[in-house]
Amino acid sequence: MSNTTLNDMTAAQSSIGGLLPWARILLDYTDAVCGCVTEEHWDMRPEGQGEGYWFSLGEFVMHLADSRREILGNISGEIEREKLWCSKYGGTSEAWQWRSGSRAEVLASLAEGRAMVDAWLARPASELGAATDASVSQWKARVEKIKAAGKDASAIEAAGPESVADCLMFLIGHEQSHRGALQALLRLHGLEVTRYA
Amino acid sequence: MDTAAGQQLSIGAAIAMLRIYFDYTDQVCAAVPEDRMDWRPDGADGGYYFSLAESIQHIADTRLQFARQLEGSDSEEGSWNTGYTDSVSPWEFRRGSLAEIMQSLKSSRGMLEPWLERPLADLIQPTAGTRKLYEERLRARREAGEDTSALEARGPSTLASVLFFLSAHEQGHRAVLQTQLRQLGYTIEKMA
Repeated sequence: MSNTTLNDMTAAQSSIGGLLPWARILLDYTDAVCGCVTEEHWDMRPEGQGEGYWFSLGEFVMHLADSRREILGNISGEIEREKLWCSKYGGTSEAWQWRSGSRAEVLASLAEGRAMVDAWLARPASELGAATDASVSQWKARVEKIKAAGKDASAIEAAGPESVADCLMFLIGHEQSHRGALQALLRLHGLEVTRYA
Repeated sequence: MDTAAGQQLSIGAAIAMLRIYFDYTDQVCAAVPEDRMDWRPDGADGGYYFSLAESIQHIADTRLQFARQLEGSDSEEGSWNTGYTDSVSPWEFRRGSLAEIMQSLKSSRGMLEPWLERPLADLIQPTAGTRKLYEERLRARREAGEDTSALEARGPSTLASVLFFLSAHEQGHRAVLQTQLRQLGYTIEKMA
């Protein structure tokens, strides 16, 4: 391992977004693919032969917009729940429920979430591996709850609170997963869609 | 911010989703049946699609490429992909059995594990390997008389940049593969 310190970093690497230069590119990719879902196909739901629930194309975009807010809530401690589109989580097999919204409203919500992610990417790179006050509080509360229920909390205690790195890694990985699925479905139905590779 | 306690953990322990995501990819890839490995979607958009096996080959190749990058090598030896033009032209892959492809996926996963065992404090640092590749690239561009300012501003890749991009990249391909398998009627591991 290099003995490079924070002082050796280039100016570009001094922010989290500079340290992860592809992060904004992948977030842009999600935004571009979501923007390819037309009004006409917004409510289209795949008819796969496999088991389980499928999001409609519009619900994919709603879920992506919600996820930006919810996942960041783990480190910011703030979630504007009234802005979430999902009103009932159905797990992997049951239908999720959503409040209604126009395509324009959902895309605006996705953009709002994106601005929230960008604010974290603008923070100093030195914060990437650190937990936040909010994630420490949530971790402590979770440990207490498990202990109060008489269960073993040792694994969660050892793992420690969620770091900014953990949160952003999950957010971007999760989002690329849904972007990939949405893109595959758009392509299968012959719709024009942005592709990086 | 609480930094001291967290820095004692390994990267893999502190950022548990890395291994969870790699496991998820492995599970979905393992669900590709032998008799469907050459199946390729006939998309209405007329563009190029990986076959199911090629999706796995691409994921395995990318793990290999990034693991090598961390070690300071840009060798392409052993890669499944033998020719790439652009996002609309067919990629070329050498043939292999599904067992061989799955073995390469496992092998390249193994090459990443030692990096996940590194201390969390190493996450935002370049490795000796990424620094070496960066310096070689810089030297080559200077010798060619090219502008190196953008490359110099970006600096050598850090461990975080390589591991996180790799994870995000493969989640995209894992999801496409999973969607195609579901559309074909297979019951596939799903996290959400």
